[in-house]
Formats: sequence, C-alpha cells, structure tokens
Amino acid sequence: MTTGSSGSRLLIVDDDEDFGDSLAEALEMHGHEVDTTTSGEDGIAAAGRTNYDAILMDVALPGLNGVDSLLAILETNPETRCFLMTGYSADHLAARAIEAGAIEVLTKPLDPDELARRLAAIRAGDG
Amino acid sequence: MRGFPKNQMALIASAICLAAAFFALDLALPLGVAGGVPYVALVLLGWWFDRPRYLVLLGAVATALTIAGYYFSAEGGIEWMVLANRALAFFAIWITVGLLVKAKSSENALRIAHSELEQRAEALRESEARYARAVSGTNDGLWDWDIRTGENYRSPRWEEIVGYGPGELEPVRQALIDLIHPDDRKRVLDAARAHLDERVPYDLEFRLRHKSGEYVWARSRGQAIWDAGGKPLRMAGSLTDITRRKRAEEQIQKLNETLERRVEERTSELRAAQDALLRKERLATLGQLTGTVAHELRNPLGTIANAINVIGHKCASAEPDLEKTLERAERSIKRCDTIVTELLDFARAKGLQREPTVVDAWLAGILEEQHIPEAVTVTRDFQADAAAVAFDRDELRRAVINLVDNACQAMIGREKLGDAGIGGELTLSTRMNGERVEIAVADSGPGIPAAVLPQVLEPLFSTKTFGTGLGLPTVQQIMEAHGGGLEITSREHCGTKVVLWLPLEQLREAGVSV
Repeated sequence: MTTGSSGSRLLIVDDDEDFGDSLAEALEMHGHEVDTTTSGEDGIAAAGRTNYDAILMDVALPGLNGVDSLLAILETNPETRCFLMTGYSADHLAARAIEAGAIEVLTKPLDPDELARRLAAIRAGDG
Repeated sequence: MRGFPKNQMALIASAICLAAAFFALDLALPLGVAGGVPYVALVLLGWWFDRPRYLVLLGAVATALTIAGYYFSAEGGIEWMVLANRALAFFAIWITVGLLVKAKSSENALRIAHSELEQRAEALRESEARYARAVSGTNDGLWDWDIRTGENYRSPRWEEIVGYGPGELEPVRQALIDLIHPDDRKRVLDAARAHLDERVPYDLEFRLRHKSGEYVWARSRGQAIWDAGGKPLRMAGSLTDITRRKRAEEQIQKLNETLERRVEERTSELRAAQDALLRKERLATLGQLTGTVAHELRNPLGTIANAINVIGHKCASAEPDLEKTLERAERSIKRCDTIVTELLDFARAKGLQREPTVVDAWLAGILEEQHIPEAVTVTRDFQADAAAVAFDRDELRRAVINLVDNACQAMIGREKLGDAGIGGELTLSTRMNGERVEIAVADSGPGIPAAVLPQVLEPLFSTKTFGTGLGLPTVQQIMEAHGGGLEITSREHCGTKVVLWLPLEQLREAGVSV
C-alpha cells in the first residue's frame, strides 16, 4: 500500500452509497485520499471546505444534477479536475458536460486501476 | 228491338182505325156473313206489338165488336146463319190469338236468347282481347297439354324462347321433354307427376336447349284440371325466359364470393398488421423497461466490481490462489455489463446524426481499430468506389463491429476473443447494387441451420452460451432507422454472410461530395 502523499485528494459524489464507498476503497488501494458524499449540494459544500485535486460526480443525482453541480464547483474551484460519471454515454446531460468543455465524461463501469493511474497523473501535474 | 213508344202509338192508332172500319163494314152488311172474319185481321195486327198481351186485348176487342155487330147490324139474313157466322168468327179470332200468342212468345224467347248470346259473345271477345293484351304484356310463352292425347300446344312466343319458328317443333309432349337439359329432366317430370297426382303446385325453373345449341333458363308454371274421378284431363301454363335473371344471379354470387374473399384477405392483412403493431408496442414497452432495469443494474455491478478489485489488491500477497477466483468473478461482472449495454442499446431510440461518409475508407478505418483474433484471416473486398452515403457513424460502427464480433466468435468457437482457436476467414466487402450500397460481413464458420435462421432476428433469441441475443435485432434496428435493412444468408457448415444495406437516395439528398 502506497502512502497518502503520493495520491490525490479526491471527492466522489454518488447517491448510491455502496457504489461510492466501493470506488473510494478501490482508489485508496492506490494511495489516494477519498471523501464521499451522496448529493450535489453536499458535494458543493465539501468542495468549498477542501481543495480537491479531482471530483468524480455521478450524473443522476437527487436535487441538483451532476453537471450543474460540477459547473458550480468549477466557479469557485477552477483548478479542480471534474469528472462526470454516467452509465450511458448517450446521456444528454453528458453531452452538455462535453459542450461545457471543462468536464470529462467517464462511462460506468469504471476500471478502478485504470482510473487510479489516471488520477495519479493529475497529482503529478501531467493532467 | 221493337216497341218504341212512337211505333206503339202508330200501331194503336192503326188498330183503332181498323176496328172502326171493320165495325162500320159489319153494320153496313145486312147479312153479317162476312162480318166476323175481318175482325181476325185486327187480331193479326197484334203481331206487330211487342207483347203477347196486346194480342189478347185485340182478341177481346174483336170479340166485343163481333157481338156488338150482331146487335147493331141491319135486320135481315137467316138467323141461324148469322149466329153461326158470328160464332165462327169468334172461333177464328181466338184461334188466331192463341197461335199468335204462342208465336210471339217463341219469338220473344228467341230474341232474348239471341241478345244473351250476343252479350256472351261480346264478353268473350272482350275477355280474349284482355287475355291477348296480358299475354303480350308478359312476354311469356303459353302451353297447353292435353293429357289424354299427348298433344301439346305451344304459343309462338313459347317457341320463340327456344329459338324455333312456327311449325318447327312438333306439338307433342315428347318434343318438350327432349329439349329439357338432361340434368333437369328428372326433376321436371317428377314435378309434373307430383302436380297431377298430388296437386302439388307446379312452378319450377329448368334449362331448355335453344335451337342454337346453348341452354336457356326457363320458369314454367301451370295448372291442371281433373275430371270428377280425379283423373287429370289437361294442364296449361306459362313459360318465362329467365336466362337473364339467372345470369345476373350467377354474377351476384360470383361478386359475393369475390367480395367475401377480399374481405377475408383484408381482414387477415389487418390482423397481421395489428399483430405487428402489438408486437412493436410490446417491444417498445419492453425496451423502456429493460432500459430502466439495465440502468439500475449498472451501479450494483460497479460496486461489486470495485469490491472484487479491492479484495484482489488486499489478498494479492497473502493468498495468491485467490487470483483465479477473482478473475472469474471479474469476467462474470464484465459479461453482466455487456448484457446491460446490449439491453440499453436495444432499448434506446436515439436520433440519428447523419454525416456523408465515404463507405470504403470508413470501413477500412474500423477494421484497423478493431481487434481481430490471429486465427482469423481478413479479406477486404471494397468495391463501393468513392461512394459516400450519409449515415450515423457511431451507429453503423456499432452495427459493423457487432457483426464482426459475431463472425469471429463463430469461427473461433470461444467466448473470449484473442485466443487461438479453430480460425477461419472473415471477408468484408462493399459494393453498389442498384439503388443500394451494401456492406457484407461473411465468415467461414459453422453457419446457421435452416430451421433456426428465421429466428435469429427475433429479439432475445440467442444460441450463444451467454448474451441476450439482442445484437442482430439491434443491428437491424439501426439499419432500418436509416431506411435500409439487413439480409442474412447462411448454410450449415458453409458459413454466414450478413449484408447491411443503405438506400442511395441519401446520396442525392445530402448533395454529397467525396
């Protein structure tokens, strides 16, 4: 197990608690530090308290949807890498995210190892 | 008819004159010998009166005058001779009256009978005229059969119906029977017998042979008369030409049948269309359901995958044997996910984003990107020249890759592509075929048995050991959404070829340049 310092500071926002926790656990195996919340609003609040390297947000959330939440976070934290997780790439919300430009779209199912490597690169500054 | 009042007056006047004249004569003659006889002349005058009673009246007057003459005549003459004379006159008068009365009565009776006869004759003429009018109006033939002699009268119109002129047919019953259609003969004879024996009404339709050789349809109605002992004497009736009506009936029947057939065809067409519509609706509902379910499955699958990943990491050093176990779990999760993807693909109705694309070049590009197992040799046969068609590249890409995967799997015989297996030949070809552009994917695999072939395009049909069987139906959906289609040819042991085609109108519509 690698130490926390070589990993990134990550936030996972997904209304499916089990999924969020399982992904967090998998990413922690690679040394990342991961927080989880279950709603867009909580995500915005958390991002306000902590400066995350990257945020992984599910597209379908109760209340404010994933895209709008990320856009809100980007206004206050423009440096944060924002990833939108969607189960279906044809999602119209995902299309909006792509149009917005600043959000990258990840299609579920995610490969945790692949994702971990990608996120590690951010920390290293290769983003 | 005699006896107008004018004549009557003249006669009465003459009678009076004559009576006066005779009386005067009677008185003038002393002997009175001829006195009585002239009075008979008076009686004779009565013949011209119309009633016998006038004769009697005249007789009475003559008698009175005879008697009066005796008393008023001049004296002279032999008494007994005078009396005898008067008596004889008396006798003569009344004999004459009697004879004339009788004659008059006979004459009257004759006259009455004559006028009655005249009336009857008139009525008969009238009746015949009416009858003739009626007959000419109905245009029916008439027949009259004398049962005892076998003679059979037929009116000219009757003979005309069967095309014969007067005298060409013998007026016997047998001539009629010979003309009846052989199939109808027994029926006609039975009906006649039934009428004659049991008084069953005679009214039936049958065919008669026209002189031309063809058959006409006729309706014959008739009535017999029987003698006191119940033996039939004559039978007569009418014959109507109903050929036209029969033909019309046949036509109506045919039309009816045609109509019924058309209605049946249309009904089954409608039913088929209805069934198709119902299936589509059901599939659409199913699609929506599967879409939702698939979506919901994605997350739990993801969680499991993540958990297994973590377990793998945690146990990597401690329990190396767990590797295979976890690999199996991961593979299964991937399978589940593939199914979810297939379901979602099938369920969604995505709007197409058509872009004019040069088919050959685009296809070549896909082949480059796609991983083909080593055991499979790929042959490219691109003959669509520089043809470009407007289609949704993502969708067509999915379609082609689906076919390529199917082909490789069929040939390799394994789920996991990339392993060396039996191997085979994959041929990708393109060509222009009339109004279509065709992309064909052919393999040298085991092929699809003829019995199974019709089902491969049914959603949820699958002979693979896993999978939802939504691949081909989804591909078909994609092609049909483009206004094109999909054709499969396959023979067992000889491989399968799937042709995707797109209509070339797209080309003109899109105003494409290469």
